[in-house]
Amino acid sequence: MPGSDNDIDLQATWQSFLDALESADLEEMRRLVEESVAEWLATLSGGLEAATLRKLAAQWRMWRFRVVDGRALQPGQETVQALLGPEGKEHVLTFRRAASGWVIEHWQPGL
Amino acid sequence: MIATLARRASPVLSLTAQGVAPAPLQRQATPSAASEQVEDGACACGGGCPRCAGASSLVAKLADRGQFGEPAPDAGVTRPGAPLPYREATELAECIRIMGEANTAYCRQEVLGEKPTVPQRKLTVNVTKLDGSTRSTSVADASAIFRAAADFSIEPGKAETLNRTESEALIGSDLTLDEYSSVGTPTAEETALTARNRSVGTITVYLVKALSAGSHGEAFWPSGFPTVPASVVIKNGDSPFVAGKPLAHELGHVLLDDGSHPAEVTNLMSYSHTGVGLDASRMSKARSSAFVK
Repeated sequence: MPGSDNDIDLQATWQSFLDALESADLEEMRRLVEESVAEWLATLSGGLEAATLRKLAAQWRMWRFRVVDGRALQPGQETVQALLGPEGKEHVLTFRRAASGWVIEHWQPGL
Repeated sequence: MIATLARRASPVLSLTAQGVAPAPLQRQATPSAASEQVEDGACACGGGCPRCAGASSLVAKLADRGQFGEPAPDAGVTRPGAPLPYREATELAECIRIMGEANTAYCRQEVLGEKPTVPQRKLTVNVTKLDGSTRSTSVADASAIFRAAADFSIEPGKAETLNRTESEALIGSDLTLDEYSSVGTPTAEETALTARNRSVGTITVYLVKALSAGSHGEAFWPSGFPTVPASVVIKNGDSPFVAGKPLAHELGHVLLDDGSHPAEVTNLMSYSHTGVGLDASRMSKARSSAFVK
C-alpha cells in the first residue's frame, strides 16, 4: 500500500537515484543500481555523459513512479517491481533489497 | 518463433500420440489411418468417453471453414469440410490446448500438414527512417508475428529515408526524439515528426536512433492522441525483446486503440520480452481495426 514504510523506502531510493543522475554523481548512482543497469544507462547517455544524465533525470522526475499493483510490500520481501512513466510505455523496474537498502536490479525500457 | 513452438510442442504431443496409437504425429494417408476415420463426428468408442466428447466438438468446429480456413488440400483421408479422423482431431485439439488458439494455424500446419493459408487481410504501413536509425525498413518480423497471432500480414507502403539535415529539422541535432510524458500530450518534436509521410487510413512507422527517456518505442493510438495521426516510433535494436516484438507491440496499441498492458506474459501486448500471442478478444479487435483491410 502506498505510504507503507517499505514503499516510502522505495520512493526514497528512487529519488536518491534521480538526485545522483542530476548531479552526475556516478559513485552514488552505481551504489543504487546493479552493474547491468549502469551499463544500460551508459548506453543511453553516451557513456554517462553529465548533460544527458541530467536530461534523463529531469524527464524521469516528471514521470509517475509506482509500485506494481500498489500492494504493500511484505516484511522480508526481497524484490519488488515498479512502473515508471505514462500509460502505453511504462518502464518496468525491479528493485532488490540489499544490505545497504533497495537497489535497482533490472530496468526494462518501456514500449 | 515456429522453431520455438515446435520444441515446446513436440514432447507433449508425442506423449499424446503414444496414448492414442503407436504412430508418429504426422498425417498418414494410409488405410490404417483411414480405418480410424470418424463418421459424422462420431467417436470410435461410440462417443461416450470424455475424450471423444471433446473430439466431436472439435470436429464440428473444424468443419466450419469460415472459422479455421480451408481444409487440407492434400487430404487423402479428409476431404474439404469432412470430419477429421479421430487421431488427427485429438492431436489437433491437444496442440491447440497447449499452444493456445492464437496458434491454431500453426497446429493445423504441424498436425494436419496443411499449407499455411495466405492471410486475406493486410495492414499497410508507411515507414520513415531518420538519420541515426540502424534499422532495416523491412517489417517482415512484425508481419510474421501478426500472421501467427491474428492471421493478417503487414505490407510496406510509402517508405522514405531522411538525411541528417532533414532529421535534425524534425528531432534536433541529438537525433533523439523528445518523447511524451503524458497520454494525449505529444511533444513538439513528436507533432512535427508524425506529420511526415502520411496516407489516409494508414499508420506510419518512424525509425529513430533513440527516445529521450530511454523508451524502446511508443505509440500514438487514436483515442489517446486525438491530435496526432496514427503512428508508432521505434528505436534501434529489438533486444532484449524477440525480433519484431517492439514494432508489432506498438502497432498493436494503435490497432487495439488501447495503451494498456495485460499481465499474461505470452501476450504480445504484455511487457514480456517473448510474448507474441494475442488472446481471442484482442485478436478479433486487431483484425477488425479500420487499418486492417
